[in-house]
Amino acid sequence: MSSPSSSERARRLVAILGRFTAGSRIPLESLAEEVGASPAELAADLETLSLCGVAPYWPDQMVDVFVEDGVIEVYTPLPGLRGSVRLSTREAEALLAALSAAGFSADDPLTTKLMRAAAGLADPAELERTLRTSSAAHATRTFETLAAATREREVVHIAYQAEGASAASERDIEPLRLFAERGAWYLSAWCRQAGGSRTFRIDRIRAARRTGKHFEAGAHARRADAPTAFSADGLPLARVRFEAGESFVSREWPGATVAETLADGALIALVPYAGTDWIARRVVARLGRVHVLEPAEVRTAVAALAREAMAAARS
Amino acid sequence: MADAVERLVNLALYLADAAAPVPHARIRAEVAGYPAEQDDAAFARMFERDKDLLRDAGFAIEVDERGNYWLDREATFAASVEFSAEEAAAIQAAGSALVDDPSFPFAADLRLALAKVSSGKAEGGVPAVARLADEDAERQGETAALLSAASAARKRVTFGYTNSLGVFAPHEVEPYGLFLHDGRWYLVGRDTGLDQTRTYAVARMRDASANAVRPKAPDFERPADFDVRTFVRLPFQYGPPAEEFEATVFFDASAAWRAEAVTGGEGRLRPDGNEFAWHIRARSPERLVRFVLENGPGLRLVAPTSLATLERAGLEAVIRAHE
Repeated sequence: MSSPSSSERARRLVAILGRFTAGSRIPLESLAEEVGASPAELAADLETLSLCGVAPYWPDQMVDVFVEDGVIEVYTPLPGLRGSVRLSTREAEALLAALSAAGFSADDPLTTKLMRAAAGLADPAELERTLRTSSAAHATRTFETLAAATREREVVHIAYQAEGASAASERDIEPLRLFAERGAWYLSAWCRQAGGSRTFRIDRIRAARRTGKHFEAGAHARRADAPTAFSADGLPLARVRFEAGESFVSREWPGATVAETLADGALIALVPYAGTDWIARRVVARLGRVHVLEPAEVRTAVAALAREAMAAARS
Repeated sequence: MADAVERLVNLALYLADAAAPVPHARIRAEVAGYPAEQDDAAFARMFERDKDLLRDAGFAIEVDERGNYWLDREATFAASVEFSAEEAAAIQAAGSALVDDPSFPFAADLRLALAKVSSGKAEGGVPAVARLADEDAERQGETAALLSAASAARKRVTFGYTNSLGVFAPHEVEPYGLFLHDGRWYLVGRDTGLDQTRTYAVARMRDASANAVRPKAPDFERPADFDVRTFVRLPFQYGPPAEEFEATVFFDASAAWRAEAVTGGEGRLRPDGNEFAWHIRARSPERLVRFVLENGPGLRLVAPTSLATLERAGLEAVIRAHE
């Protein structure tokens, strides 16, 4: 990584000036991590800061900050400073874009509160007209509940309706990690009902409630180390035929691989599946251009779903 | 001599501490770091850069017609804001996930924003990661950053582009806005060669660059009614405009709770008893039928009725192949 420029270092310092209130003691390492610097880089910047002040630069007009034993100590108020510096337009827009990617719209109460207090000239509504970072469609209160529970290692009771399922199931989960993939947000968790690791798509969580019960860190954390919306590890495979001209796009069939390309232009793919609901619905939606060759349980599920869809269409 | 960081912080503190507007000559004399031997023109350039940088950092530096400078303190210093534990965790989760996502174009500014809004009191972080774009994430992120900055400054961009037919051609575009959809960044703007507003996939661009001539002077005006959200389309909304038709899809009571998520804000969603009626423009009948089936159960296509024949034929083919 290249060394930060003077302007980057200055902006970094300005961003944290508001933290340096008289009497504060701040761990160097954690603050360095927050601003994306190494502890040594931040210590050097703080040494520069200690040389700063206002004219005529007498001792009581200098920044009284020192680093000792990995702790930043501030002895007196910084000259002229009256709290944290507001977000610049670029910073506010970056934060708005991040919140938008997590499903928070310009008129969400959290966005409004944050912008009113922290930002200057940024206009969330204007930004929404020129930049769209999300197709996330979950309830933002659910996202907040899950984020807080994940941080506090608190068990959450959820009602979850999986893709293709006709009803929600109730379960207690230990939330381990949130992750975003291609616009949707997911939660990696240990499901106490299933006794195993599960991934929950947040827009399919119909209700979430913190229980006040806490769980030990690390007990089931391994699964959360490599979060992905779909892990094909250990899943059964279905042999699926795509007729000639029917596109096979691997990102639409996560974990699938092409096993064979036939002379007539059709191809055979091996598609991992966790439950038959998901794969049956995908196949039915291809309107006869995609067929499951095996196993029988998936073929049966596809036929049953197609009949059900036919009956629903007739009604 | 003081280094640049020292000079910039000194200038920030000086303006924050000044009780009244100050002329630049006094700033030059009293802020440590401006070289005494520097000529007026060099000082003016350095001072201009320093003000720009401090404004980028959030300092609201004002100037009157006589060249006196002051800091708008109300616009510079943030009001105290208290977040609930849930709100703070949500900011932390979204922020920490995206700050390390190479496809997120605003990571550097986001990091500084998080440092400013964080009280520093948070105990532990929220484990969270993001991969907004899933193809060539780093290059998409870098290109989207360049395009976004050009859009904000209203500067034209040029790039080479390979279209869906595999044809490569150079383009010059006035970048109106960007959107992220299904793991890919897209640029919407007026193509100056075609004189049309077009959508371009960022992953298909090569060698994008912004017009560097007179960086502070805009090259174009964005149309007042521009809204990037109107360019985001559902899979069945692609096709020749002449083939566009109005469709109606019902979400029954079991699926009503996810109607907003499925529709993604497109079309008109109206309550109808304990159901929702979704009126939406479409261009591809077959893709619309596929969309309804794929997002079931609980969705049914009501209009146009001619699509029922297409749906029935497709479902019969599925049943025949799997019995």
